[in-house]
Formats: sequence, structure tokens, C-alpha cells
Amino acid sequence: MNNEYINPSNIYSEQPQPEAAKKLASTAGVLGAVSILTCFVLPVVIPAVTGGMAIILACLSKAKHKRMLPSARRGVMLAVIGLCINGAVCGFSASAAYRIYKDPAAMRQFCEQLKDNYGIDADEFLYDPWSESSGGTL
Amino acid sequence: MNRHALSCAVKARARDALSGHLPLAVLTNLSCSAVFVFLYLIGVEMNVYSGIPGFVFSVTIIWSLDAFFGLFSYGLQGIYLGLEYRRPVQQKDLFAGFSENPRQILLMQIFLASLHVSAMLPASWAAFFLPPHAGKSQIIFAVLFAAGVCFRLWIRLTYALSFFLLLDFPRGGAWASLKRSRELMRGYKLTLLYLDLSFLPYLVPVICTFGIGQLWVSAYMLSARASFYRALLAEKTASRG
Repeated sequence: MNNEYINPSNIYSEQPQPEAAKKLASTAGVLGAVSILTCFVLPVVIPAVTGGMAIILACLSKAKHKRMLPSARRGVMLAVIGLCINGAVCGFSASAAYRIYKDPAAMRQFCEQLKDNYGIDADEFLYDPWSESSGGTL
Repeated sequence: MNRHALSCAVKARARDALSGHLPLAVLTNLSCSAVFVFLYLIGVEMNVYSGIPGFVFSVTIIWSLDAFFGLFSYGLQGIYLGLEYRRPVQQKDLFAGFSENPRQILLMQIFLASLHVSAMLPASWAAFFLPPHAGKSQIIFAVLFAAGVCFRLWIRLTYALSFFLLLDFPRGGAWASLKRSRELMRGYKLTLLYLDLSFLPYLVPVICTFGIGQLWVSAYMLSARASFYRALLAEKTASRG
């Protein structure tokens, strides 16, 4: 039977990837690199979006081939590294914020460092305009 | 046939069909989602009743939205079938259901929407009328909900190919397409379920992109469904010959 569905070993093509798939693979590579770079500049949202998109586009760029193009593979690798770094940054930030919020000594130290390094008063920094009626601070 | 091998073949074919047409597929998905969200929000806003009238109204709204959305599903699946057949497709084909065979599409979707609604009706009733914080009513709701989801899944798998069949054989009409889909899917429901579940790992990047990636992944999924339909048709034809 020559039907490629009934005999799925026939499905994968040995011909070169189409131009559209190559473009997709290059885009995945660029997005993967952007995901790593933005981890250090604009963490949280942008690395997550670009990393996730790099993985999806790399998978789609395989087209009728069994393996990804080298640029797509690179994109996936960079995206996974970027997502891991981003996850670590998010986790570290969340745990630090939780510690400051829960521990009065850590909160005091945070307020002092804020004043020393940036010259900002803690009350001014933590000012919450939405809770004006309850004193204006968080 | 080996489920995994068929799933890989179908997905490879779907990626190939999408190659070069991804922007069109993503834009179409975006338009479709926007229409759905808009209609759904209007439906939610319209429900100002409570008690029995609220329940009846919400069920009616869900049913009519589901039935109306069939016109868009027809266009959407037509685009992916067109890509599968390597036919030229355009974004305006999303609205093909309004001009090609709308009566048959609505008839088919009314039947499917009625089945969908009836599957979830007992769970909806439990959610509306049983006391929310009682342990017994929570168990009743959970059981009814699980049963409803299983029934709905069975309906979805059984009639998954009915729109493709209506697109390919429009003269047969709605009932013939539904019957043919039931016949084609006999013995292949688990294969289609396996194919659908094989997209589960894509959930991780989709969550990372805050749902934006779903536009690309659903294009891939819909294209794989069209490819699966073609594979099943080829296999059934070969086994008959």
C-alpha cells in the first residue's frame, strides 16, 4: 500500500525544507535569543512570551521533516534556557517580596536601603492612591 | 493501525499544509475567537434574571450561541480543509457558512448543540438549584459534571468529521454527513483522542505566552484534524477497495 497514511514511514520528506519553514525556523532562533537577552533587561513577561513563541514556531517549522532545522533547534535551546532563567528570577523576586512583607526586620532593612540608595522615602514608595481612605499606604 | 504512527503522519502532513499559510490561519483563528468572545459576553450581559428564569435563559443563550457558531465552524474547517487539499483559501472564507448551505449547517449544528447542552444540563441544574456549600450537593455536582464531560467528549469524537463531510459532499445534507461521520469514526474515536492529547505538551509554551500561542497551536490542531479526516477517508476507501 502506497498511501502515506496507511504506511506512515512514507510521510517524512527528504527534500529541502520549503522557504516558509526556513523563515519560521529563523524567527524561532531570533525569538529564543531575545528571550535570553530580555531575561536580564525586562524580565517576567517578555522572556516568557518570546520563549514560548520560539518553542511553538520551532515545532511548526519542522513541516514534513522528522528533525528541526539547526536554527530552530538553537531557538528551542535558547528559549528553554531563557524560560529557566526567567523562572528563577520570578521565583527569587517572589520569595524576596514575601520575606519583606512577612518579616518586620527585613521590611525595615528594605526601607533603609531604599532611602540610602535612591533617596526615596518608604512611605512615598509604598504609597497606594487607591486606599486613600485607609491612610494611603500599603 | 498504530495510533502513534498515524498521529505522527497526520501531524507532519498538517505542518506541511500550514507551511506558508500560518499568518492566514492565525488571523482566521483570531477573528473567530473575537466573534465568539463578543457573542458570549453579549449573552452573559443579557442574563439579568435569577432562579428558574435565569437558568432557562442561560441554557437557551448557550444553546443558541452554539448553534449560531456552527456557521463560523463551517468556514473555519473549510479553510483548513482547503489548506489540506492545497486549494487557494482566503480569510473571507471564514464567513462561507452564511452563503453556502446555511440551512444544512444550522440543522446540523442545532442537533449537535442540543446534544452538547443536554450533556451538561444535569450538572447545570445541580449548580443552579442545589445548596452551594453542602457536601452532598458538591458530590452530586461533581458526579453529574464528570458524566456530562464524558458524554460531551463522546459526542465530539463521534461527530468530529461531520463538517468536513458536509464540505466535501454538500449534496448529502446534514443528516447524511452526521451519519457518515458516525460510521467513519467507528473504531477510531480513541485514535482521534490520542491525536488531540498529543497536543497536550504545547500547553506549557501556551501558558508561558499567556495564551497568545494558542492561536498558533489551534491552527496546528485544526489542520491536524483536517489531515486526520483525509487519512480516515483514504483508509476506509482503501479497505473497501
